[in-house]
Amino acid sequence: MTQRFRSIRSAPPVLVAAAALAVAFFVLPLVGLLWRVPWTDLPELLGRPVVRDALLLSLVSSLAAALLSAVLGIPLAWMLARVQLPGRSVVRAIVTLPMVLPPVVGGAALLFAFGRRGLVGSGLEEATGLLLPFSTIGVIIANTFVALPFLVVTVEGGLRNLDPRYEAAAASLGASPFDVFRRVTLPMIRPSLVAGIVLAWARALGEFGATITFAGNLQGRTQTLPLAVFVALESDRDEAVAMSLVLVVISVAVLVGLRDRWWRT
Amino acid sequence: MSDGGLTAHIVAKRDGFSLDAALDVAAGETVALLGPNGAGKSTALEALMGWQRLQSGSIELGGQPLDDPARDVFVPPEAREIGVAFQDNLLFPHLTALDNVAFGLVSRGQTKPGARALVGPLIESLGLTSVAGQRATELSGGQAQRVALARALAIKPKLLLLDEPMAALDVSTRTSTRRLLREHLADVGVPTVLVTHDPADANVLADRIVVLEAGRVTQVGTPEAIRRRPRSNYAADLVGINLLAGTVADGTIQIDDSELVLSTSDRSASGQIVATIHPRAVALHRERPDGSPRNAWLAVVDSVEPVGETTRVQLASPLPLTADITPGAAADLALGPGSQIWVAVKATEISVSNL
Repeated sequence: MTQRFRSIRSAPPVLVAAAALAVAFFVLPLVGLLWRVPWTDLPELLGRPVVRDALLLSLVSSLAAALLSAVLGIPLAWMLARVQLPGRSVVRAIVTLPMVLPPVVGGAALLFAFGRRGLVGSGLEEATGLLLPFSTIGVIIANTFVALPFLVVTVEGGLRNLDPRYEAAAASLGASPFDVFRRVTLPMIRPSLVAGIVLAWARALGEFGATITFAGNLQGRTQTLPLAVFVALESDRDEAVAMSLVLVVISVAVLVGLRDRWWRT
Repeated sequence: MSDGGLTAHIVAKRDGFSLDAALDVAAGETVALLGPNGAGKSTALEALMGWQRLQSGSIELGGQPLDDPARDVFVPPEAREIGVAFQDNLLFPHLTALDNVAFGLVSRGQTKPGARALVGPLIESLGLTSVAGQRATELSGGQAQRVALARALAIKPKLLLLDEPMAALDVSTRTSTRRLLREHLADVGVPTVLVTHDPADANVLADRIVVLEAGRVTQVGTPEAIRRRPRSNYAADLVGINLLAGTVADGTIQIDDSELVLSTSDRSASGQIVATIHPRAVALHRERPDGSPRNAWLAVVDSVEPVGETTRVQLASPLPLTADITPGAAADLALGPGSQIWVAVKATEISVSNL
């Protein structure tokens, strides 16, 4: 609508300049990265064991984190959206805290809870022999910690936009509460579900601070792509650039995949 | 009323609004719940469905308590076996028309193919075979309404609730859907509650009408009884509309079972129709009126009742008709049961619609 009444000529020059600066601020680092990509050596670089290990670990742990986020997050989002809980806003605040919390602090907090001498970690090790820190499972837990809020917030938004009378209608047709959830609620919030899972996955894939703090930086076990990029920046720039390129390509693919949700203006 | 009938005394509170209404519907009977917006019709429906708990009172269906706070009984919605056709249909958009209809049977343990096969005859009898494979979102208003009705009937409900079933339909679809409902309601044989604003719906479909105003039942009776003696202005307005069946051609209506021929300026329908005349449009005269109204005939007064600020005159032969006139006019005309009076209705005051 605005475009019809306001041409670029009537926009104040100060605003145009600042906006252009903002765009440049995002474009320049990307160009800088692409400019540094050693295109001819790319296949060799991406085939190196340290890169392959990191790529594989990143895929496995981020997908596992997205799956775990879905398994835990969808029921939580449903509870937040549909059940009148006492202290619901407090629960929501706690759940979304990792979105704004510095990941390093999150990783440290995970150590104090699930570490060898942590709140529940020591008991867990005694009972099952399972040691979470500095293991691949630790990576998945750190990833889930930062990814879960994105899923919960997205899915809860989808549930709030779903007219609850559809669920009530399904109940009146004889569907049990869980059947209603499975046969009506989930299919009807599918777009939010997909977006939430993809967002959680993307967030898990890029996770750095919580992972390195809680799970460490061991090649093949806990060294994910972002960690490997950080290490390679000190040792082998080309390697770092090649791995960064992989992450950029994935991020762009996610944006394109979700364009219907966010880019429709 | 234990042979499958509904016996309800609904007492519920919501957002400071309180509903206290008795509703009894026999098996095979259709009761219209009629009331202005905010009268508590939705609250009553939600209580029947189990979406809202009673505060006190009770709901019994076929002798089984569904909600009875005093006895600590509450049957959840999924166990009530109530078929509901919602005003806005609430068809599941991710399912086809067929799977919407089969939904209730799948919930009762049928396999999907089994449920689809079982609802086949119902789909066919409602004329939905050609759209069975379409998504609910691709259906026209009339089709969606029929799918919603089929979905409600498919579970072989013990109680049928129809929430403003015609509200979302255009006029032509409305008449065909009304006819379809009338045919199917006769076959279902369970108590049916019809919530509607439309006097034609109530008159054509309902055996009895329960008038609900401000959370209280103000009148219960057959459409005929309420037309004769409406207890409120709302009921008078809503139920008093004269509906005359007949045949129309070129603006000339031959009224069924009578010699009467009326002319109308409404050309929107032809063939078998229902002519609608508002009671206020029926003028009464001592002498045969000359001049513009071509529709004039001599009638016999059946009853004269004050209704709010007007007087309702019920006319008998040659055909039953309701007229609302001022008390002053009624006194001037010296009306009483048995008196003869000239009736005049302008052609512009008669509208026709296909039934």
